[in-house]
Amino acid sequence: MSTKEEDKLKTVPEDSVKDKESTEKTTKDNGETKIVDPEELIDYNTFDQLLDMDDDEDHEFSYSIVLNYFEQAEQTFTDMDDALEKKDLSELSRLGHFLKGSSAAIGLKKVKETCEKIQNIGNKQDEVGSASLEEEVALEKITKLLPQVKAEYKEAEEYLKSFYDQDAR
Amino acid sequence: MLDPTLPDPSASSTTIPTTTTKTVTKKGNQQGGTGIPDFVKKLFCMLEECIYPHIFSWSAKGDTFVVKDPSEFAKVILPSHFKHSNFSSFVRQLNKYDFHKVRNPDDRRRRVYGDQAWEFQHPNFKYNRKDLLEGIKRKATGKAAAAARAANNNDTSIDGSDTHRHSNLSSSSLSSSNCTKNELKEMTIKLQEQIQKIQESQTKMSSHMQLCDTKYNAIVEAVDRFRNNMAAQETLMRDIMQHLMTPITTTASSTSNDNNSESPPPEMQKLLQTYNEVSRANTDQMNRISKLVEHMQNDSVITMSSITTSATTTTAATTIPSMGPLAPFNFAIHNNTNNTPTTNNNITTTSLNNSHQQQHSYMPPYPVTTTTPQQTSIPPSMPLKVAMSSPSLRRKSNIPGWSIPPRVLLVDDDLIFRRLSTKLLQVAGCTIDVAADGLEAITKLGSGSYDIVLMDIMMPKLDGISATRNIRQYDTWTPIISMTSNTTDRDVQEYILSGMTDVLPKPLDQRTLRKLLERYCAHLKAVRQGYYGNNNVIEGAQITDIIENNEKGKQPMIATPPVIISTSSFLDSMQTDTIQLDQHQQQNQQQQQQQQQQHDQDNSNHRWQVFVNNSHFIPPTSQPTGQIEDDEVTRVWKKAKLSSNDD
Repeated sequence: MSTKEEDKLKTVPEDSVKDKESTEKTTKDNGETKIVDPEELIDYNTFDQLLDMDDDEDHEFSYSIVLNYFEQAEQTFTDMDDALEKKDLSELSRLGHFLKGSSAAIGLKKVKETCEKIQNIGNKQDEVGSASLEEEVALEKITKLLPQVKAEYKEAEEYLKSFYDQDAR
Repeated sequence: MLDPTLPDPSASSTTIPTTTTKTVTKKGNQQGGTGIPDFVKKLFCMLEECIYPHIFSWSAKGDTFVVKDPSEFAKVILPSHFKHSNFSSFVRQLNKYDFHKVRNPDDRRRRVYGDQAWEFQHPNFKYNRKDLLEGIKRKATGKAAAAARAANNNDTSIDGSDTHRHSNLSSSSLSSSNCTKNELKEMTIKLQEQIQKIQESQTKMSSHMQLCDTKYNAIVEAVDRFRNNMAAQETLMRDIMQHLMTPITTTASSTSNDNNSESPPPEMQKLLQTYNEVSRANTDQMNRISKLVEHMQNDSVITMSSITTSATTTTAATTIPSMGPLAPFNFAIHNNTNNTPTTNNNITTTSLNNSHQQQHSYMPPYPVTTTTPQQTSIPPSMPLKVAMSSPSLRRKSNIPGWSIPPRVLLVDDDLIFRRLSTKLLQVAGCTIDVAADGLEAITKLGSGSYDIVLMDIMMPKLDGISATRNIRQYDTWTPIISMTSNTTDRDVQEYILSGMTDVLPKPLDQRTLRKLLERYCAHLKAVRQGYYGNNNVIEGAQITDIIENNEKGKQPMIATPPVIISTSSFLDSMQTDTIQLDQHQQQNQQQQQQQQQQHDQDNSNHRWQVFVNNSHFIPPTSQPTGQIEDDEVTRVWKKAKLSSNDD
């Protein structure tokens, strides 16, 4: 199924209007490839497991989960912005951990990794969680990471939306 | 010794050490030398009054009582009789008096009482047996002495009711020896009655089992007959088609079902199409039914429920297509002829869409006797999934059958995660309850019982570790599994210390979850051998009772009934007859249990294995946790984890 999706995705960006949006976004972010590589974006083991739970071709269940996730992510990003303004590192860490969990549950690799970084840095530990950081350094890093995670999220959102649009009735 | 000055509570309390005095002080007055603790009396009266039979009543047999609705019970009944309205305190009290929770009662009982029912049993607590109540004592030293004393005193009082109630020492001591003989005789009669009743109920049960067995056999026979009928019908239809085809089509090939040429008229084609689909659907249906019947012999009744649910849901899900002209690509599937009625690998979606029209008419009314509402969540997609890929059908049929679906409490603050895990657990055949944080989890555990708890660590209000600690204060048997992405050694140590039974890393993986469920809910798996023919389910309940016994109080491994009259003081009085009768009764019960145990040694061994594995995870709640113990526990956990990963 993954290869089928890859093919579909590769054809869709060529055709639809959405294509321009997503390619714009990707060029803005990475400046490299025009087409999003789904393998890197999504962990298919996890995502397949999610789709497996769908009762029928409708993907009703998984789609509703994904929509839930979109809402949750948007809300978390807003909260993160607030927390960053208030320079509240512990809150940022908690939010990072929170979003990391649900991203991992759906299988969004990049978002999950960045959230993990935010969580660790918010705890004043470096990205892998070993050494410790100064507060200003931590804030600085998060200031850079936040737009990155939002961009990665957008990428994933686009991909998922197109996936469900194709598969839908 | 045999102190006949019974109405004096202080006298009885001085002759018996600490336990009775504790009872007196803690539970209020011991009335009239009857020796029945106040709590037990209250309980008995509550049951006798039976004001709220839908919340709290005796079981059908009268040897246990059931709290059908713990939350209502805690809200309504507890405050009016006791000073508190906490169900877990009530349970604790019951445990102190050596009541045992009946775990995993057989399917029927569970269904009757509901999934959140708590059933408690005490050998001396039976419907209308007030006389046995004094056998119920606190689980402490000298319990037997207390029981003996109480029994003695009571019997003496019954016998010498008229003359001895207010008499003085000297005269009563003379008559007491006579009384004891009579009282002993009475005891023996009572015990004999008990034995008789037990035997009667046993014969009733076995006859009931036989009845179920015959019913089941009848069903199997009916399915067989129906299968044969279908096959006959199919051959008939095939003959008809052949006859129809041959005179009309001259240019068509000799095989009646080769329809790829354009010569057969469109009506013929339509007819053939529909016939093909019908027969395919029939074979599909038959295959499914026969497969399910096979499964029935091994598996539990879950498959039955899935048939009925699949029937209902699939007719709801898909529209009944008309018999009219279908898409041209149907021609391609005509090659899948009906000459091979046993193939099920080439079935396509369209055929199934049509099959629903037929499905209802061929669906025999299976008596769905044992399903709970939650069981309908077991994949209703089975027939459709057959279309997709038959391996997927097989996978889902291979769900380990649960004789009772495990009741899971899922605690996590993330809505998405809760929804995902709920779905996963449903697919695995469990019933799920959710809590959003530690506080809610504690509340739910206080008012309900679960077979396993999945607890997130990071949560608002009350985190997983603190919640577990709190729960472990009054519940040491429910497995609590922590779900987290932090699985470093230190974290694991912390979890185990707080009372967690195991660790499940996030994000959830279906296989790991399944393994975990099998591990901790092994006692709920369908008993393979003759669910309909043996007393295995009862035996299962007994064995888990043993396990429970051990988990709670670390008692000796034999599940002996608590009616033991074997203290030295009683023996001193040389009343050996009664003792022997009692022991005989014990032995009877023991023998029964042992026989049933031997019947199913494998299962019990497996359960012992589970228990042994689990026993490592029961934290030493009363001991201060030293450094050495931490490491040991973690090491053991790791070892177990490694071995389970190797499976």
